[in-house]
Amino acid sequence: MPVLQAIQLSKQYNGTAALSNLNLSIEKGEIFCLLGQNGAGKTTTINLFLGFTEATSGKATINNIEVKTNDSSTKKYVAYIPEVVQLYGNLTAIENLDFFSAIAGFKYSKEKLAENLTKAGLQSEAHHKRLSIFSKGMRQKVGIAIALAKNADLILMDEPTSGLDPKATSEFTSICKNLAAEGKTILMATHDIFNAVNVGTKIGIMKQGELVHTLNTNEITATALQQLYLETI
Amino acid sequence: MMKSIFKQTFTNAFRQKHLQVLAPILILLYLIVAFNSVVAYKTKMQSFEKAKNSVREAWLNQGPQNPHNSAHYGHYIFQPVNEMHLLDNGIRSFAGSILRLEAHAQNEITFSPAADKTELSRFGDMSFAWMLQVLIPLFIILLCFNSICSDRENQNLKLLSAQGISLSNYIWGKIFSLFTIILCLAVVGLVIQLLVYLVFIKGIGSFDLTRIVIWFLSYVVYFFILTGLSVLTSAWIKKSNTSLVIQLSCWITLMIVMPKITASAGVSIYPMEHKSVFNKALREDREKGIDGHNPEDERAKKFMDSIIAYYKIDTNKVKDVYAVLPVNVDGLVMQADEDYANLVYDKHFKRVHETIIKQNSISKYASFVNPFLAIRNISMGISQSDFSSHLELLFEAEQYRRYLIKNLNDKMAYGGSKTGDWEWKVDAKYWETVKDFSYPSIPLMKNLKSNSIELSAMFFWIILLIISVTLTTNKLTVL
Repeated sequence: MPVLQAIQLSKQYNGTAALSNLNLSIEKGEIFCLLGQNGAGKTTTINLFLGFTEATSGKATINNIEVKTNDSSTKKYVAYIPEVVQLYGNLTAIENLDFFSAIAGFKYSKEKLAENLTKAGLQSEAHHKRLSIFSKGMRQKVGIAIALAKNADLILMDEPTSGLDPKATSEFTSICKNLAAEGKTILMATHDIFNAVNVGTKIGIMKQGELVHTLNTNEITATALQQLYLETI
Repeated sequence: MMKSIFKQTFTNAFRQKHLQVLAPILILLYLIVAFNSVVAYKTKMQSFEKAKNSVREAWLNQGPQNPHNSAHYGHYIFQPVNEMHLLDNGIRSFAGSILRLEAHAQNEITFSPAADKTELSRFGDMSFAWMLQVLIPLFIILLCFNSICSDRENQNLKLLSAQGISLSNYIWGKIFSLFTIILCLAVVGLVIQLLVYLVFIKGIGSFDLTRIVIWFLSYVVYFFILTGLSVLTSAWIKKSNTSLVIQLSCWITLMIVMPKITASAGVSIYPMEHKSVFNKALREDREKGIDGHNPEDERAKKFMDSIIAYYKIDTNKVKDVYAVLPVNVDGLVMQADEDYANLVYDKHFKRVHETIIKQNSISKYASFVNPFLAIRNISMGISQSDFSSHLELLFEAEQYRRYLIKNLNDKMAYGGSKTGDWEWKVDAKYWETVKDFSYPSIPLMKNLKSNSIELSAMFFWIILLIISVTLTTNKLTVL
């Protein structure tokens, strides 16, 4: 049974198609990377799976439950890492994690919170510092820790490596691979072709709201993918 | 979930730099206002007690005196002071402070404290009520203007939604947690005020605690409404800067512009007649009555005839009617004149007071548009510093004037003097039999009743807030 499925999923904004008849199926343990230019429909796809916006037609399902905007029954299976992880600058890393975990219904001990932050790659000396002094990469790690703490089956990531330096991107890639190895499913929207090949198990190329290509990463090199991507867009 | 929102909002708010800077300034202002109120209260209380005692002493020690001389010398009523005026001085600075009570005339209260102040200070006293009405709303805006839109701007709202937060819990959580912070700031202010009063004013143990609790509770409702509106605005407006500009514009409109507009509208819609017109109408009606000092007056003669008839004196047999009468007719005529004058004054002053009440009604009904007007009037009402309390003082003072003058006229009429004997004097002990003026104590329920429109407006705002939050919860999108 696929963890995540889109069936003829479409979304229009004021008559303009942002997503057209998307059919997508992602199995447990897969990392599916969506590539495409700005406006190709990557973020719209993620928003539809999160129930942030209502589909014009078709349906999106998570663990075979249809996602609806006014129903949070699928939310417990999903963790989300936005493009910009700001969180609360006046709260420390551990306080942010505690708060977002509590919202998801999890109450962890200080040790468990620290363990999640460490697992996300945040050094222990940063755990009790306020996020206002954190770099984008460090904030991203707290965002990952929030996703880890939720222990969700599916993690939706919207351009998570945007603005990260190569080291932070590499660390992030490792974390994603570890999560997939633990059986987590990841859908990631990204502009980064090389990272997509590196981290993903499958890659989809989107253009003007349509999924034009779907590839297995073990069947294509980064250079070939880049060539295909440039030809497609 | 609500507990987590409370904890997060509290921690976030108290670590904000602007709150860390503004909170000590607010506390300093609380102290300044408290000491300022204490100094003003002590000065007014001392002046009031001194003047009141001095007038009573002069009354008691006037020695043998003709009662009508005393009636012309008159009596003075002073604007009273009570502990609630420390919290809200209301219109007292603009209302007169000394009222002269005398025979034949119902005077206007004169000498408003504001008249002696500089132009700037005439805009209003800096009281604790003013801080709660005007400054705390500014704090509410500073705390709440970006409470939701900043979460939207930095994508926290998306993350919160993905974590499974209920939007209803989220909005109510924000409202209640921010309201609690505001309430803490206000309670600190109240505690500071009361402590300063208790320490620096001797014998001020007579605080009406029920009145203070009700007074402060009305502000609690006011803060809840404003916090709710500010958070809702933050939910409706997507940009923090826009939200701040809109909310500050609302603050200026509701706190500064609208009170002036409603006051001006009241005067325009219900114009007050000119003083000269009022005086002319009063004089004309007054002249239709008996002239108590002119025995040649036609109506005075008629009244005299009725007295003679009442005492069954045959004027054909009795040469000097006045010598035979067991009463001093002058006293009776003067009282008849007073009774008539009272009708005239009641008629004309009632018209003036009704006009002022109509003028004020505009701001009362405007409470349904502006909660500031509601709380301002309720606060003044409970503090007994509003126009109704002022009218109550004038009413009681007029009742006392009538009692006083009637007492003196009756003494003239039935005290043993003869008609025309203006040299007759009462014994010095007589003055003690005339009771002193008792300053009115208005029951709390009466104060609340006189502000029933404003209280209804507050209730209306609470209902409106609940409906708005429900609708916003249903319509709010995280994108």
